[in-house]
Amino acid sequence: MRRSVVALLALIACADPVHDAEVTALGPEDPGTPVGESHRPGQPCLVCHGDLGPAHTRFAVGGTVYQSDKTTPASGVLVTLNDAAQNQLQATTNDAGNFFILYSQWHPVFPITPITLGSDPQNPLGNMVTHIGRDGSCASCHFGSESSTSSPGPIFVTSP
Amino acid sequence: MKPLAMKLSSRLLTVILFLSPVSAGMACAFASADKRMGVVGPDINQFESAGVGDYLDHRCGSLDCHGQSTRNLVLWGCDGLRLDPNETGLTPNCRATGGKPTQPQEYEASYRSLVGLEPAVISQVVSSGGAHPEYLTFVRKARGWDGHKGGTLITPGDAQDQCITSWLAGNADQTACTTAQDPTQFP
Repeated sequence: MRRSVVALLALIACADPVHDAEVTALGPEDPGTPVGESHRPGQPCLVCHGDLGPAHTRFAVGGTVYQSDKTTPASGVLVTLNDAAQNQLQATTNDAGNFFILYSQWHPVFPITPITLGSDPQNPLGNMVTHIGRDGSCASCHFGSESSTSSPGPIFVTSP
Repeated sequence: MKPLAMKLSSRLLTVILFLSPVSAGMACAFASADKRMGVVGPDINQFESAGVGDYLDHRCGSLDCHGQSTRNLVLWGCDGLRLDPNETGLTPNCRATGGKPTQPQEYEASYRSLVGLEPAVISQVVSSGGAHPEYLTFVRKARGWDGHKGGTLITPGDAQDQCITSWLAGNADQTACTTAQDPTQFP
């Protein structure tokens, strides 16, 4: 009994209700998409793939890239990110438009800038005008179907 | 004489005890109804004209940082959070959509947010000609002296620091503020 109480108290003490609420707000998995690299496109990856879990794999950065219609996933797009320590990392979007870089590969020094899309630096398919200040989840800022006062809208390539 | 003195003291004490709350009550009752505590803020015009606001928006106001309306310090501008719900357009050096240049209302909103963080402390710093800017939490956080999710952003004496401290001192260094917006100045 005493052990149960202690365990319960420890559990309560470690719980982060704000983070729990963020995870819950993401909703259930899409039954048509298995849990894996293609799941939950357009959602803020690091809510689960951050230091608080509950996902086992931790990301440094993760997001989803769409075609110019802002709804169709853009696959095979090279995403290049440079951090303040002059480290450059690249990732390629999958069929769902998702890309990610593992935290074990990169501990970025913020801000991350410049960020470009496409394999041709002279003719990029898109580039981020501002920088990432602290949040590796692209969808923390890039949410909604269009731009708004608090979001530039989805990440999209300017040509197919 | 002793009993008389004691009697007088006792009466005096009674009078004091009776009048103290009455006096206190009157003091409160007669406080000016429109009494306001003034704030000696840094120059709002320099905030816009010298590039202080642009620097802060560019450096601190990204949508994942202080470009969020839920923060104590909220910064508005073309690099992040916009004030006008009808924002559209495209402007270099601002985010690709909703990129109209930072508007006067946005500079003012950011200024008010910043000055309103610690009005008494900023009044003290500004009144003293910018002495001890580190009394301000936002300066300590930017310098990494206080806990800051965004980490250490500026070093005392660098262009970013000069931009802020010169403004607090009453003469914003426009050159420093312009230089401070260069990403290569970041840590």
